[in-house]
Amino acid sequence: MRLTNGTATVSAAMGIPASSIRSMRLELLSSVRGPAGRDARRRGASRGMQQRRSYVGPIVVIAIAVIVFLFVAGSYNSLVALGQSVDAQWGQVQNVYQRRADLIPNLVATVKGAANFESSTYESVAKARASVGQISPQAAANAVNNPADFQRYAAAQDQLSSALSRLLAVVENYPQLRATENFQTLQAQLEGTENRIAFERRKYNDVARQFNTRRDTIPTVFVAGMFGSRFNEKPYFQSQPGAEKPPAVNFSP
Amino acid sequence: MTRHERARISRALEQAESGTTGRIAVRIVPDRRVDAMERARREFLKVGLHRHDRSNGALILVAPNARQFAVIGDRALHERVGDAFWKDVVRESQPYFARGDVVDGVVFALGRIGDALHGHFAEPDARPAE
Repeated sequence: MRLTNGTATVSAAMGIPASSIRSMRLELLSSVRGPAGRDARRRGASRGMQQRRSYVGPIVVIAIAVIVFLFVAGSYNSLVALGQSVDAQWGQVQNVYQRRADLIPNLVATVKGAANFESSTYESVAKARASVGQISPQAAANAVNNPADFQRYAAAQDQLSSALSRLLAVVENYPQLRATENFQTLQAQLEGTENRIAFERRKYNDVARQFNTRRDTIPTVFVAGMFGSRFNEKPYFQSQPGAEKPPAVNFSP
Repeated sequence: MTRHERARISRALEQAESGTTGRIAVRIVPDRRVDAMERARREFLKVGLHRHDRSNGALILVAPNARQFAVIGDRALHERVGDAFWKDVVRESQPYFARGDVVDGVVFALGRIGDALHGHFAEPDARPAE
């Protein structure tokens, strides 16, 4: 109530006729009409009170500042929370990738012991595995905030996927190898890991989409812009180029 | 379970069933001691999935407090996918349940069963012209 009274006083001192103030009140806050009217009538008595006038301005400013601050803080916190869930999910994606990378040496050793085919297949697997390892853990962990790093990381993992599928396709020609228990377990583990990779990637895209939607919609977009690159859009996993075409199946030996 | 987690499961369920004739049910029970397989079979009958004339229903039962879960499927579905499929589903979703992430485990299992249904029991009119 004090705020409304004060506003009336200030406006009146600025030369707006009391009657117009009252009609504005009527429209906006009908319940305040009585006090506002009384205040306007009392105006003559309080005109000389300089302290009160200088006291009211700051209150309005502070109130607005508090409202703005609360709004910014709310938006900021929601962005931080969503960003954290994106980071956590990215950790899960790395986790399953790591599991696959750990399985590969065992798989290669098993295959190498039982089959002696073209060394080029081993080489491509080893090279793809090495290029995954070359990405430093920091760069990999920070890839969600850096689209270029993200692309590089995803491309290295895709390369490893295709090298692996080539290795497994070649191995099909070695019945005695496929029959060994060790190879069967490894292949089952590898397939399970691939399924989990697909699942975790899809889930990552889901939380990244939530973050990006929140980040790019009004009103949060104004807040996100204030913090520079802190809330950049999160990159998505995209399918490998060419994945939309069905794979060629070739049964010739 | 929060509203959001419920929504995630029902969205995954819808996705797995859509475009197929199969039906899937998810049951999460609070029991501390339970024989997951036996309970899953009972729930399967209770839900009425066995009355489905195509016999391609499936049910996922999770008992987080007993740290057990079971995935069962009806006759026709089982004939198509074989024993190895169920073992795979359980083996691959087990890590999610093991770290206490029931929702992720269920959503993952639903995705795998959905893939199988799409492969073997696609809705005739939903299938694109060949």
